[in-house]
Amino acid sequence: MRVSDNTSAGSVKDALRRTRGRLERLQIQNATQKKLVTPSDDPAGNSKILDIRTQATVNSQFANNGAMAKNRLQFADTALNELYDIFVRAKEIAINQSSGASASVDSRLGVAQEVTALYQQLLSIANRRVGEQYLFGGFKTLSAPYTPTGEYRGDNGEMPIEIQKGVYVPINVPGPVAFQIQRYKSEDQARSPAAVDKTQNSAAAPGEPPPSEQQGVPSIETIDAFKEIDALRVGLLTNDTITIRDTMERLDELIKNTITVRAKVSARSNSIDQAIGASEKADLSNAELATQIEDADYTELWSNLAKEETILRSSLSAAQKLIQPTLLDFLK
Amino acid sequence: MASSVNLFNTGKSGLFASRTALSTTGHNIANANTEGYSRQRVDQTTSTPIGLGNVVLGTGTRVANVRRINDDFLNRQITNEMKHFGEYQEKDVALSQTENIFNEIDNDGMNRLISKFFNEYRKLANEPESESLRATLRESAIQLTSDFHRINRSLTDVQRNIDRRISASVGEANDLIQRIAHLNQEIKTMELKGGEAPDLRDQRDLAVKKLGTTANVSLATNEKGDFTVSLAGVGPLVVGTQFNKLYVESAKGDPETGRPEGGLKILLENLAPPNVTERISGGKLGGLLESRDKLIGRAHERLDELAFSFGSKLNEVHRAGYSARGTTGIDFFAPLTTKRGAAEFLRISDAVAADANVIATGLLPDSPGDNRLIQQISNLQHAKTMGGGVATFDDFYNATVTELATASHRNKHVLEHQTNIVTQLEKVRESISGVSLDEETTNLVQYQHAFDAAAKVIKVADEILETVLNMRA
Repeated sequence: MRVSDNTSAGSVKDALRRTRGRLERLQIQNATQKKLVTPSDDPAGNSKILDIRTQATVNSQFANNGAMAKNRLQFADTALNELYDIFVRAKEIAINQSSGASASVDSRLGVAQEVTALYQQLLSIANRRVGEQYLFGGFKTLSAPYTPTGEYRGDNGEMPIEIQKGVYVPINVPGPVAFQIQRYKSEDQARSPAAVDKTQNSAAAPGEPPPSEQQGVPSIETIDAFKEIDALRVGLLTNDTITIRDTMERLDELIKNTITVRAKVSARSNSIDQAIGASEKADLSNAELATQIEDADYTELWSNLAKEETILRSSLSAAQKLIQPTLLDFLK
Repeated sequence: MASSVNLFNTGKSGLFASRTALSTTGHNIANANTEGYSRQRVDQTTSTPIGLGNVVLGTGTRVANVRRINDDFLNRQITNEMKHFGEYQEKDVALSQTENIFNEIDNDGMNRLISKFFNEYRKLANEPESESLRATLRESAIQLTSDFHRINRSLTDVQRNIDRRISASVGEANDLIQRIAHLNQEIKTMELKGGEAPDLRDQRDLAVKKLGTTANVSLATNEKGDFTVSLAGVGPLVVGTQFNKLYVESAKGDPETGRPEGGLKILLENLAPPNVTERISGGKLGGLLESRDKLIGRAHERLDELAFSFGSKLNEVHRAGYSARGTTGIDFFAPLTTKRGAAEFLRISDAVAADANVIATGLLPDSPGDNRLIQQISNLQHAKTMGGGVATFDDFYNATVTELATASHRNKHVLEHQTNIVTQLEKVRESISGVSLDEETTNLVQYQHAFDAAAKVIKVADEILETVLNMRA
């Protein structure tokens, strides 16, 4: 092949352009520590990275939500615990004061004072606030849910919090769930546990009256914590042992209900923990994948840099040999 | 018997030929680095012999022609490849700029801002009563809308920039068209006497190659021997000494071709209808038009679609909700009427701008703790609302970025490949037509010796003549 001066100069330039280009890329990778510098370096990888980022960002919010939700549930749990203590104490009083053996008119009058205090405690729990929000008001979080006579002004709203994509956990307990029980009257006792559960669930729509006692449908009675404590107080004051005895069984139901509700609340906390754990695991494996896609591999990077540098040196020294001598050097 | 005068002439022809060869060698050396230059050779032939009785005697040499060493087919091949080279080069510039607008490897881009917006809304689920959380939510919405504006503006800037390049390329093409027509004239004049005008032809070849980089051209010689250059599939640019210039005109936006509002059209003189924009393919102009209308135009269109759907869907859900103020039916974003320009006009509604408390969280009036609307809003991020129900907002945006990145990636590849092809062809051309200084130096020595020898012949002829003249004395 005939070689003109421009051919050899062109070859040198071309070789240098290529090597310099590859070196430049490696330098950028080295400076940024990433092999994915622009989207076109790896379009599919870039898309995956964007995807992973979205997931990570969303998951971090879910984790934050979960932490807040757990905090809120903790407050509800504490309140329910106190509630439990009140019911247990009231039941103790009822047991003690219902029989003539261990109690008297005087003792009943004395204990009635304590029951009045229990009622006040009950009301203060029912109207407890966390920051701005009333714990037991349903969606009506900015006004006290219970009147001093124990009337409920809130609704049955449960606030769902997203803790995983599409997974929601309610973070509040509406007053009626904690302070009221609806059950079939004693003749239908056998069916009641499941049925009570059902009515509670379907009562989610606030403002709707509880299922009415229509013909054919077993009649439902409502046990109300305020009414029971008040009944106990009145019973003690009026020395009405039958009323006192009646409250015993209902207070028992309330105790059982409190335990159930607390179990539900801690189950929610658990599912939040699980969801956060699962998200963290997903984040971790996503981060690994992201590293593989976008981060530069040191060993490879350095060996490539060394290689390219050698190539550059050798093409430069080859250029020196190629360009310098011409016939003119020998004709002098 | 040959006369001694004849010997003088023979020597003189040798001197003349050597001098011509030497000056051509000098010309080659001088132009060793001239772009598009082809080395030249002197074609020598023996001059007409004379018959003297039974002897035919040579009378020396004659310079038949000075011609360039050149391969026309190779030149055409190079011109042909240059159109791809020019196209890929321009696309590379445009696409690199464009993909950088969407590059969020190191910074917050739209992808993150969309998630951030939804996250801020989700944060509100914990405390739907909070005004400060509403204010940060509003802030993130403003950030998101300004990112829509940023991308929209940057894309428009790139398109405007492309228009400037189109305008410059058309100007460059017109210069070349004019030069080719002018060279046609000169070559014709020069070659009337026979022979060829190597330097002028080199210049014309170079101009054609450059024009071929700008647009897809085809070359021909018509029946009258005129050299013609045509815009492939459109019409003649140069016919002999006649030429038609290209010009540009600002045009209305066209959603069908993807041309932005005010984008340039390319037109050709003396053509009816003069608009050739849609018929240009390849070359810098083809690459620029494709980048502006197809690639960036599409990204622009998709950005508008995203802004439109995002704003409308969010409004639709938001209007159904109740706020802490008890308001309902309020738009979160100012309502958009058309997709076109949505990315430019997306902004939060006046109501939300005036009071963050009208941001709705619940499904019931008068329930400050109701956060169930947030559930619906949150679901919007994962709902397949785009592209006829196949993609989420994120998917749609990511696909837009990926489309551009893939186009850029592919283009980088073909550009590299095309650079190799062109480099290789140029190398072949240089190896045929390029000047080798070694070779020219050798020729220099060779012709110098020939010149010396021819001078010697004249000297000998002179001596012979002198000897003859001195015989009488």
